[in-house]
Amino acid sequence: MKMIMKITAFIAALVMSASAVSCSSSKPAQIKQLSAKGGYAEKKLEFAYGDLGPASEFTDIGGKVGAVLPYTRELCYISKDGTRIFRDVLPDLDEADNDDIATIFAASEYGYLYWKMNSNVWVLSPDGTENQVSGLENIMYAEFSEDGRLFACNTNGDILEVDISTGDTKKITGGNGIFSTFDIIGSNIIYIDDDGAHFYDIDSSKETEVPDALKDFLGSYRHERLTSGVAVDICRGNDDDIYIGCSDGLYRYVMGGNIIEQLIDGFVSRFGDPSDEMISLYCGEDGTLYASFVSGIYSYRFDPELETTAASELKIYTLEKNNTVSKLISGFASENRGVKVDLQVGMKEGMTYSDAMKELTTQILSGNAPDLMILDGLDIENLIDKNMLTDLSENSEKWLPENDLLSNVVNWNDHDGKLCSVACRFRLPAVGAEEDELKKISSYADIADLCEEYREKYDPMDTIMGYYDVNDSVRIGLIYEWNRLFGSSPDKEALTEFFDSCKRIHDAEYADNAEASVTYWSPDVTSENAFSARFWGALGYKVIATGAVNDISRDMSMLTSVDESVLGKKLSYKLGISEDSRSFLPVCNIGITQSAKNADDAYSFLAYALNDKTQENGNDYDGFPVNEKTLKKMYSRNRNDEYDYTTSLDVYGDDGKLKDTVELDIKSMDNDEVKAFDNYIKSLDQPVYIEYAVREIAEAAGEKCLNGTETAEQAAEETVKQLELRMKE
Amino acid sequence: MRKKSAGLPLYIVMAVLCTAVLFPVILAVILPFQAHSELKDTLSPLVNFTGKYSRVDLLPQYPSTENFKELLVYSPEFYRVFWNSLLMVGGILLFQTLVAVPAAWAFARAEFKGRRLLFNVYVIFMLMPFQVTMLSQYLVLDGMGLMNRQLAVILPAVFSAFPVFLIYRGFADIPRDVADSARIDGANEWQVLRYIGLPLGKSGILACVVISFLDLWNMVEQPLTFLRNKTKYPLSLYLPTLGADRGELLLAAAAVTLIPAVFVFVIGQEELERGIIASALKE
Amino acid sequence: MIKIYDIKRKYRYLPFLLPSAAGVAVFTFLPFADSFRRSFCAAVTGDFVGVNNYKAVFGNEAFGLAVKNTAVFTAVCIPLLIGISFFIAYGLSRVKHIRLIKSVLLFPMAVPTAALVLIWQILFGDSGWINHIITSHGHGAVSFLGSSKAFWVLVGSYIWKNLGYTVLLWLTGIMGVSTSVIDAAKVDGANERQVLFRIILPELKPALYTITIISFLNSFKVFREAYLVAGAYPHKSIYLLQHLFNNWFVNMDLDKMAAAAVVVFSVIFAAAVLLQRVWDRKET
Repeated sequence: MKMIMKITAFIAALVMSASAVSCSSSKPAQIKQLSAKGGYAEKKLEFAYGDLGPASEFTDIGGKVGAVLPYTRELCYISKDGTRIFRDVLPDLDEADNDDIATIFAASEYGYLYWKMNSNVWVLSPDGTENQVSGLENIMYAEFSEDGRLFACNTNGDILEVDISTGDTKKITGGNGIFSTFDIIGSNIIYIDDDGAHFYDIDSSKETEVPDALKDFLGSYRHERLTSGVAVDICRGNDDDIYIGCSDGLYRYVMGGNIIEQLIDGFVSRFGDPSDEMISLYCGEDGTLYASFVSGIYSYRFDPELETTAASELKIYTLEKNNTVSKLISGFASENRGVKVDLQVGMKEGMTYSDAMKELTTQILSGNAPDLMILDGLDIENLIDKNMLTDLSENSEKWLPENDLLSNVVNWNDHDGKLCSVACRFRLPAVGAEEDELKKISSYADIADLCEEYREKYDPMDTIMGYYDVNDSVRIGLIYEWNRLFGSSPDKEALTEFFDSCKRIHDAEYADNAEASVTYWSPDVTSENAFSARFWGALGYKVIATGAVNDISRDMSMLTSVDESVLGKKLSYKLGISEDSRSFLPVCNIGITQSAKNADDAYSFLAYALNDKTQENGNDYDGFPVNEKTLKKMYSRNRNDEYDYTTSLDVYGDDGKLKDTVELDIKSMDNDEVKAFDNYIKSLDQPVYIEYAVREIAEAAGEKCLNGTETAEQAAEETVKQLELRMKE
Repeated sequence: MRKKSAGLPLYIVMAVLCTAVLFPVILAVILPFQAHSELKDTLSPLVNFTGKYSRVDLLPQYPSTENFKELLVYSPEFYRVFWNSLLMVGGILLFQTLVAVPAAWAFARAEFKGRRLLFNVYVIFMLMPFQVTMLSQYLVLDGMGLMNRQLAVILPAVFSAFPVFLIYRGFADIPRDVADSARIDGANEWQVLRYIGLPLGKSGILACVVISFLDLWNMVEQPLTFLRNKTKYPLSLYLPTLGADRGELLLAAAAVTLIPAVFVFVIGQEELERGIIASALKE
Repeated sequence: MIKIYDIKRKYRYLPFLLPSAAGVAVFTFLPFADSFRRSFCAAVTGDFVGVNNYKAVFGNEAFGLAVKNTAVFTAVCIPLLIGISFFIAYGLSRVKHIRLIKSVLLFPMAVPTAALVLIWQILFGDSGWINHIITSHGHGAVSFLGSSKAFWVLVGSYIWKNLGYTVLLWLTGIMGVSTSVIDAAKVDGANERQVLFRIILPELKPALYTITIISFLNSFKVFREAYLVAGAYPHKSIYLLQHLFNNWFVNMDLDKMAAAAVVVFSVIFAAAVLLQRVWDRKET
């Protein structure tokens, strides 16, 4: 017995050390970071106006390097001195076009591959014959190899070779999932699918080994982990190296080596700016790098004297990552290149709120407190009690812009003159439904009543609430009821009623497993801020729109223009849930820490966030601006009908098939509407600030109520108990 | 050894006891061998209650190793964390013993003033729950530049008072005259420890190693607070990241975690057993 | 001559003790000293506030609750564990197949906490297996983990886990009683009970001391299970000191944490010293 044990132990030890060996042998790729001096300076090439989205990647046609624009059939190519863009119409493309070429996927001297509106993919061979391509529905990327062969891939992960003269396709290999990159370097197709990075040699028709360093690096840019379109582009360099461009910056890899060198930090450059999108890269003969973004074509030249170490460092902390903050930071950084901005996200992937808070605490105590904090979600009162935040009113000259601000919104957290946090944006909770029904709604429970009524009367397969997530009834409900539920102390009865409403809504919505076939406005809009998308949905279905409204140009224009659903009923909306509610959600709350080492830059950041230019450039879903000058400008744009747009709505019949496509004109708000809106936002006085910790507790209990483990009352009791315990501590 | 054959009732009591004790362990070992579809009945009511309670099949109807496959083949992080655990625990045990044995010997044999006090202080420090000094420990480690390195977990554990306490017990039982006679014969203290203390106190040391191993193998708080990179986490931290919604993986990982622990104490048991017999035959 | 010898004797053991003592000083004593200092200062800014933190701690309701729960838990668990394990050990000492039973009893210690928590959820959860059995017999479901019964689940979990080692320690002690003395007593006509009470028990005092200390230590470890099962704000009955410390940390209430740490330390210190005095007196 003992012998057997000893032998088994020995074998086990071998197995364990085997696993250890296999782990340690693969050395991770080294990423060489930017050095202190010498960097790449960005320059926008003149006359390269956007929108280059539908343009091709960089290509060399007759010695001229540039991108091909579909609408004008032009080649926008780089001048010899690399400072301007010239445009030449391409004759063969021009002839073939009937104003219907929408996107150019691949262009070269060997032909073109493009997508025509309403008739899919076509190829144009050098001798002028145009052929429709078979088998490339759902095309993702296409590219020519250096010797003129044409390859393309689709959303299924198939890689096909296309015959340019006939349009026939042949599948040569397949990957797994949607590709985030597809480039041909030399004789290798480099692509990244769900399994990571691959090299496929087109000459030998088989997969080749990806160098380890590249594998790790590229593998982290798989499609599922990205938030937007083209993730990564790769181009060939001049010294047996390749350049890789992605949201984290521009990198260079020498083939066969182990080092990936970072040339440009995405964070403080266009590469990481969420408002722009990189399309392709090109390395010129003299080593200058060119990149085409949706906004234009830029050159990057190495300047050995360029100071890349910043004169100062600004540490910014945010609890959860979101695009509003990223945009502010890259915008600030691009205007203040001497400041290195270090963004720290509290709740990184997989971290819980309490872990994040513990990390923050230990950081502050070991002397590494952030300079500026984006307070959204944090317990601001607690931070003020602990004297962590400075009183901004004492240094108002450092950050107040010249124009007025909506003080009722910005200074929502004013404690008798002591102002430790200011809001830079805000959202408005709103409810939308058919006009007669809307009149009856004045609380969340009323919404629950209406929802149940709809479910009884109408098709069980259609969505009523347009939720993104099963637990949305709780999350969205909180933005209406927060103050009533948690005001000064948790109210058990109100909570019971609240959870009860959530459960009723949840059950009515998901009875018979109704599919939420809702319109996604954009992946960056979270469920509670997707009011407009739902209101849009109300046009075609019986939908009760809930959530928050975010901006004037798209949301408010739509809300004020659309008042009749396709089904003939009159639709209406109201800001706030009851007649006398003037509630708003302060967003992007900024505070400056007492122990900030770099208070000056922190103040400039705050000033930057509040100035009218920045407030104007916000994305649609960032929330309304608080700068009055910006608001006035937006109002005037309304008067000039600049926010008019036409869009089409697909209407589906009962059989689930497309019945009709209706064109809708969205008009900017007219004078009266603008005035009413302005008056409303000036009267707002009920801030709804949602604290992450409390929300977590309410949602956990709510979830138990929704999935039946607890009744509404039990869930309310649990929430109250936990919150009371929390308050006692 | 006097072993009176006790009556049947005693055996029955023991048998019942063992079953009760083993039941959860059996669950932990058997459940991972069930296929996903079976486990669903067990695990999904925990996550999404739709009126059906958890059902547990004590004997898997269709035993399968798919959970283990998913763990060992498709989760490469598993090997990394397993190795981290081995490295850290092994390192700690080795140095812990090296540091604690002399210290325990000193406590057992020395007679200086304040020995009691110092020992009491040791004991009380040992008893303090981690949360109490968590922050200050963090600051000390940060001050030493050890943050986010595995040393931050290893060093405090190496100098823990717990092994000293356990091994002291083992040494305290050694009669004074045995050691004193060796001294009179001219041995210095190290030799006394080596030739007399170690053999006689072996059971205590081994007990300490076994218990320490089990304790360290499952430690959660220290790595969680002091390590930032997921790649440096030990196995014990990998488990909590999988909750009931990935219960199959969790159970499989737990079963695999059990194995080294079982090895250690089965092997350690033999020695312990011998130690017990030896001390009984001491007379 | 004797003096030098004496001095040498005293310092003989210094090198033995030094590494351990140095390490303990740095990694245990130093942090505690820092906590001590912090207990007199404000949380983040570090200004001196005298005994304010102590006042805050003593007046804090949550602290009172946590102390009460921890004390009750300890007072319930430890005697239970010691008693049960002693009976088992005594029984085992008269039975064959010790090794097998010992292994069985030791197994629970090896199960990792996270897996254990899942098992407890499977068994005791509101939608767990035991409720399945109960409801299929017509009774209403019982909430084990969400009510005051959670306390007993935790007690049970503690005893289950630590039974093995405690039995082992008892056994070591029991087996260590010299057989010759027992046989002699038997010859003198003593029965089982007298052997047990007059001879074996007194010899077990050192073992009892060790077991008490270790059980006490392990009773704090039960926090991990409680936290994983019930979160940061569990049912009142299982809200322990560590929960409070954990939450104070999350909310940056470091001043209260430090003051409470000093209080806890002093209480345990006083208790240990007292215990020692009582022990020694009994011994002499």
